[in-house]
Amino acid sequence: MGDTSRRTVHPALKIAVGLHTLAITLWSIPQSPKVYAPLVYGGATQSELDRVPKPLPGHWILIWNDRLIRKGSPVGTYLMTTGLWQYWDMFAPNPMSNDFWVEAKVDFTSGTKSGFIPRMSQLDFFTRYRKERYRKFGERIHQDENKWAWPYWAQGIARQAFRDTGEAPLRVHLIRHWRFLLGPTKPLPPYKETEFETYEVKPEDLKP
Amino acid sequence: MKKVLGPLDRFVFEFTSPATMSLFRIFLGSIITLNLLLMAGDFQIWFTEQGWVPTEMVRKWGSSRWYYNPFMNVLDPTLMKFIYALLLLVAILYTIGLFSRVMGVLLLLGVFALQARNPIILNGGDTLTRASLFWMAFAPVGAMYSVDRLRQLKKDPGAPVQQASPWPQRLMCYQWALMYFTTAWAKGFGNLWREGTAAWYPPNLSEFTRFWLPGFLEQQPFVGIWTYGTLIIEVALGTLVFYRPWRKWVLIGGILLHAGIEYRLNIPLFAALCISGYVNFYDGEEVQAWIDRIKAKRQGRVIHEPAG
Repeated sequence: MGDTSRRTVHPALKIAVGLHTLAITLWSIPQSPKVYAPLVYGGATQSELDRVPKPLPGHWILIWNDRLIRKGSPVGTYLMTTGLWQYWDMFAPNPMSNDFWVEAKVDFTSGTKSGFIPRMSQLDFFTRYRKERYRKFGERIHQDENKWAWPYWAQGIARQAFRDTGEAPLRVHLIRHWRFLLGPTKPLPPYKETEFETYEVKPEDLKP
Repeated sequence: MKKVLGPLDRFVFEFTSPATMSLFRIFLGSIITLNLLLMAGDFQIWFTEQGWVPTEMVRKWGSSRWYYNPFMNVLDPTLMKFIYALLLLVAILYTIGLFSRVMGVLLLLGVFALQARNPIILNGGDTLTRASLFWMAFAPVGAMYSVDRLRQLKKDPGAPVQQASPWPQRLMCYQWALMYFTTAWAKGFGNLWREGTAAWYPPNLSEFTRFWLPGFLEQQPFVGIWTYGTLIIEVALGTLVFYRPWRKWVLIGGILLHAGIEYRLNIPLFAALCISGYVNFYDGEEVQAWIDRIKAKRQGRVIHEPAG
């Protein structure tokens, strides 16, 4: 072993490490509860502000952090541009209770086929492990706020269907099957079904 | 102030054995290699223009700020496949510790770029991988348990292991603690966590669940135990883990928590990454002592093995 007697690093490195640590800490602090949004984003009318409950002292830290750090601060710019951003909200503030899966039905001249989106619960242990990213993708994309992304998803499925079958698809239907879990003592409700996107496939969508 | 900062400064920066950082390199490299292999079958779907996530979609999804995303310019699927294969090779070389420092930087640039190419499929494990790679790029990860070390010993059989400042390792500990503490904090705002039923929900999502559990363990009081137990362990992993006499017990709690999540939920490699990061809470000298003990035991076994 080499010399162990009190060797240390340059002070500039210590400062850089300290600043980076501060940046990731401020960025990781949970967002303030949605009810305080008028206090964070501004532009609220007096009556909207009057309806906001008085924040607890601990909540003020989160509100100020949202105002000063998350809204276009150099901290955000540094973490986002370098790819060092981070959020730690696994199963928080509440775990998801929307039990859903998405199905793609593709119309061909010869008929309609399904099975282009892997359904986790139908897969064996290893395949499910390998394909988990499909579930994560569906979880993010199927939400209404990402409506703009549905045609891209449908186009991708059309290309995949064309590759798999060799037949040009005519239409892609994206169907959400969903139910809300009610809790440990309540029975599981049946799934409901909604077609949330119908995409007419264009010839240019299928070009390699 | 000096009383607090002095010991902290020594703990974070004073030179010590690089054994822990070198061992964590093997864990991190193996997990990244496995992750790349797991995704390889769906490579076309996730990372090419022929897939579900073309670059135009990523541009709309991503931040309005400029950010590091070089693969947005790679539109040829064959070239993208070649880059992916190269990244897999870099991950393997990093794991075995050949040209470790260079491979660490290449892996950092490659993994960041791949994640930026498709941010829609990322999970907490990917975020933790990014943070780890960043810190590890500054660490002497090839100093021990590596091909680099073997090459060094071949040239100079008595070459000592160079001591190093453990700040990347210490910051990795901080990163882990930050993850646990802030996630527990965020859960504090959820009514399901407060009322003690939150742990019931994720394993009852049909697409997320994994292995079976007897029905009575999904009822109260057990659901409450899983729920509050999760919060207690997460807070401990964010705070008490730094108190040395309790470190081992807190980390055992963390292992149990992740083992439970791994059994019940389908979250590939997340438990492996989180648990392997616990090694960073042990000093280089402690890790070196474990490995020396294992080596001595193995040598003893070889010596005592009966002939024939």
